[in-house]
Amino acid sequence: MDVDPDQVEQGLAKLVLALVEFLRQLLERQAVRRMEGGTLSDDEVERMGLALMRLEQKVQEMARGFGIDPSELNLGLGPLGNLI
Amino acid sequence: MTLIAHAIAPVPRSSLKGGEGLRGRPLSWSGAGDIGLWSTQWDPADKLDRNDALEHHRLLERICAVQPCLPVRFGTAFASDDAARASLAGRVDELRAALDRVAGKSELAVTLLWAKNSGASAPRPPDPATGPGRRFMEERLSRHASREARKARAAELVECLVAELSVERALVWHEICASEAVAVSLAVLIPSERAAERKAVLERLAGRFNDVVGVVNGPWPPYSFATAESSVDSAPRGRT
Repeated sequence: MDVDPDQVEQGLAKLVLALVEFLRQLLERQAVRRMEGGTLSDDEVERMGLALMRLEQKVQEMARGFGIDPSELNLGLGPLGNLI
Repeated sequence: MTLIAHAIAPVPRSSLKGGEGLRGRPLSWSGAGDIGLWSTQWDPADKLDRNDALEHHRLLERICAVQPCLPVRFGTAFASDDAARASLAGRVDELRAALDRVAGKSELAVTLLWAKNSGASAPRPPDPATGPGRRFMEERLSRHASREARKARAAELVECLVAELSVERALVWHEICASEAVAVSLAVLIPSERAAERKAVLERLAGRFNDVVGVVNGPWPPYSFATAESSVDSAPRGRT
């Protein structure tokens, strides 16, 4: 088994950030559905949008900090496909 | 000495025994009941490279030309002949069924790529009266709607291809919208003697769609059908 100790930190960061991004996208989809369904007030839409936007920016910023391209924040689940 | 696996096949009746594997090394047979595994005897100190991957593909074509075979993912290694046999021992019936499915057939692969700007409507200009949070949500709403529309269209394209192929659905594997650029990846098992004719049919059909660009590859060994499955239902297999 090839294990590069220098890559461990980046690998762990990628795993954690991919999970955070997965949860963020779940929240985003739920929020979009609720907006479509008209169950959010204008104020709630604005606050939800801002929170999701800032969370996305933060995840991307942290990924770049670890030398990870944000587009790589995904996990292959074998025959099930990708996480996101 | 380890073994680099190539293909699972029925007990060989062919002249492959004594043949050459990767880099001219001996091709080895590890039998388990009436099936077995073709592999190359390999020194673990040697690193596999791109040329070995291409040679693995050519070997699979040679094996498939003389007997049914299930390709093994390139780089799969076994510590010994006993380990190779043990990996087959508990799955002989499943593997035999999978071999029956691919016998006499070759795989054709169809990839449909979205044509430029297909299905993508121009984004509405942002309303300056709305805040950044709402603009973000509206952009995401539009993105999700566009993604769903593409999925629906890709599913339609799969149905068109499957209908045209007129083959059992169990002989078709597909995946839709696996990436931004790809609408459909589809593989189909075709009787080897009809592969060239069916390839031409698929190329003509793929050329008729306006919103995608089609690429048809193969025939080649049944890479997409190498998994042993105990039951095969009537639905096309794949991910949507």
